[in-house]
Amino acid sequence: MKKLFAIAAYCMFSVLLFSQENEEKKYALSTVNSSVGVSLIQLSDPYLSPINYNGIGVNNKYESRSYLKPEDTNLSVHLSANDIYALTSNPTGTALIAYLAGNLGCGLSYHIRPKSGLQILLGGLWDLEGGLKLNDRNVNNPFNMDLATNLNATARMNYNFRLFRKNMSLNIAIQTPLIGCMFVPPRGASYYEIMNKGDFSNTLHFSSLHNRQGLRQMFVIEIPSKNTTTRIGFDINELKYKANDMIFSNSQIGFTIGSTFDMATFMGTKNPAPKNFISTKE
Amino acid sequence: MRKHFYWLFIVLLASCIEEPAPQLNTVESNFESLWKIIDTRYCYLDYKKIDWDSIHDVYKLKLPKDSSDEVFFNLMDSMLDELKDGHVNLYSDFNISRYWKWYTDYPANFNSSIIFSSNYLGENYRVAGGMRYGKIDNGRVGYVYYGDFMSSFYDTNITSIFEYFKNCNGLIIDVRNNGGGSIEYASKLASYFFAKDTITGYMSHKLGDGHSNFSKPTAVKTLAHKSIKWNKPVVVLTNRLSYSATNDFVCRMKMAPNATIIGDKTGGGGGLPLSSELPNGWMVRFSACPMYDALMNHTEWGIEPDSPVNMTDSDIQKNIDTIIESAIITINNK
Repeated sequence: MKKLFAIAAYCMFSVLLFSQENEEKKYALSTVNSSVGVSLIQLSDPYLSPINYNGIGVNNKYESRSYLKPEDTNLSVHLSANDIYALTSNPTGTALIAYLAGNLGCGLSYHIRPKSGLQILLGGLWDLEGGLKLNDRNVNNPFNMDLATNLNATARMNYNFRLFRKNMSLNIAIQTPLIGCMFVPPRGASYYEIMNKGDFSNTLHFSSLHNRQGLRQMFVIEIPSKNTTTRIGFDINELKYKANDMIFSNSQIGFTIGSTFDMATFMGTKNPAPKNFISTKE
Repeated sequence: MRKHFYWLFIVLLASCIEEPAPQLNTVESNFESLWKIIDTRYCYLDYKKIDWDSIHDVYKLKLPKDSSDEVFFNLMDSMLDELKDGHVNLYSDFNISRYWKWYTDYPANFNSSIIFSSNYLGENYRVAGGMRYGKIDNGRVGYVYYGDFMSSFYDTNITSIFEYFKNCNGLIIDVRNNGGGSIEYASKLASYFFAKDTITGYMSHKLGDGHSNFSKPTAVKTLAHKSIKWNKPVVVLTNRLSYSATNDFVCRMKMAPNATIIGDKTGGGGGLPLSSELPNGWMVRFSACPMYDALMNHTEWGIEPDSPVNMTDSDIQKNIDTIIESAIITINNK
């Protein structure tokens, strides 16, 4: 009887310990922001035309952020993916440039909390940019590609405040390229010569502040409601770069709307879901 | 050292990239814009010994104060004609300027009604991938007329044509009055007549604004087709209207092992054209990338045939194509 009691006590103690462990273990949530938007865009691509093209585009933005380690709330990892499709025309409306571009980024931020409700995130983001500008009126130079990779400096401020009896949040973010590499075709060369004949001379350029300057700015307010948290804001993107005696620019100003949510990811054998989470696989 | 680094950083930050001021849509601005595009990007100013600065002065004086688009267009058309280049065009909403003297000042050397008469293709010719073909000279010679390098063709088309001509002594590829099209098709069509990959030319492009600043020429190879090959004699027929991509095809075929070029000198068009734009929205097309033959000779003024032959009036009256007849003799004598 004594032995039976001892075994039962050990089992209960073990279960208690296990549940405490589960309660104490921290899980890093990923904060995901997903939004769509409409942008006014001005393009200048001297390879296609010396004239500025203006138009409108739709964009899609996705970003997620989570702490690198759950026990360290000073360092977070940031992933982003943006794409835009725009249609622009020259001032006289005689030609169009269709613009399709995407950007993938991965970065780290250090969190500073100067006061309650205020966070300042400083860090860097490495990104890959790809884009295509198509002017089908042109002969032998109907398109130009934007290809670049950059290390960017990023800064972000998250400020939580209360308004209309709601806990809202103001996000302001800026990003600027510091150093990287970009593809720019020589002004006089056709893609036939570059691609088919493999003449890549003067196409790859080291980039830094001397020849590539840009600023992405985002102003967003997060408004929680019953079942979702809505993000409303606008962003301004300015990018200029020069190479091969050409100056390219891309200016965008847009309105965005989306939502934000937190999620946890469980996968593999090292990071299984706790037992109080239910998976459809079970 | 650290202080210097900070200064450098500040200088880099402060050195904003300044975009050129937007161009105004005025007669003068459009004129200056067009003149500058040609001045900085056209590739044959020095080769053709054109004094583009003096042309600027001459045509600037002719600019009317209040001109209609049409008057201005015609003036710019005249200015561009000074380049004597069929690859130079100004595209407005109402017209496209062009220079045609590279073939209108020469004998036509082509008469389609003779080709499609019973002496040659007749009515029952075959068509495959933009090529019209049939047997001529009592079935001893295969004849293909390819009139547009924009017309696509596939390996299966060529296989069918070569199979049809397999018992012929040789093949005629007629590219007279073929004003060009895709340089890819020119390269592909030539590939069937090469036994091995061969450097058949070179090309380069403008670097900077100087009239003679060019990149190091890149070799243009004609890759021999891996499986489809014509090993018998082939004759390429040319006239002055064999232009642009056709000029490129002839340039390649000059190096093909069993090929002979017969007819008139090609029209040229050796500069790969690119496009730009004026503030008023008109597009200008111009030669930008000079192409050379395998001996680094410019091909802008055309390519000389191996055997120059012109159509004679007496033959034309008899419904005979002198150039085709010359090609038949060449094939049958090989």
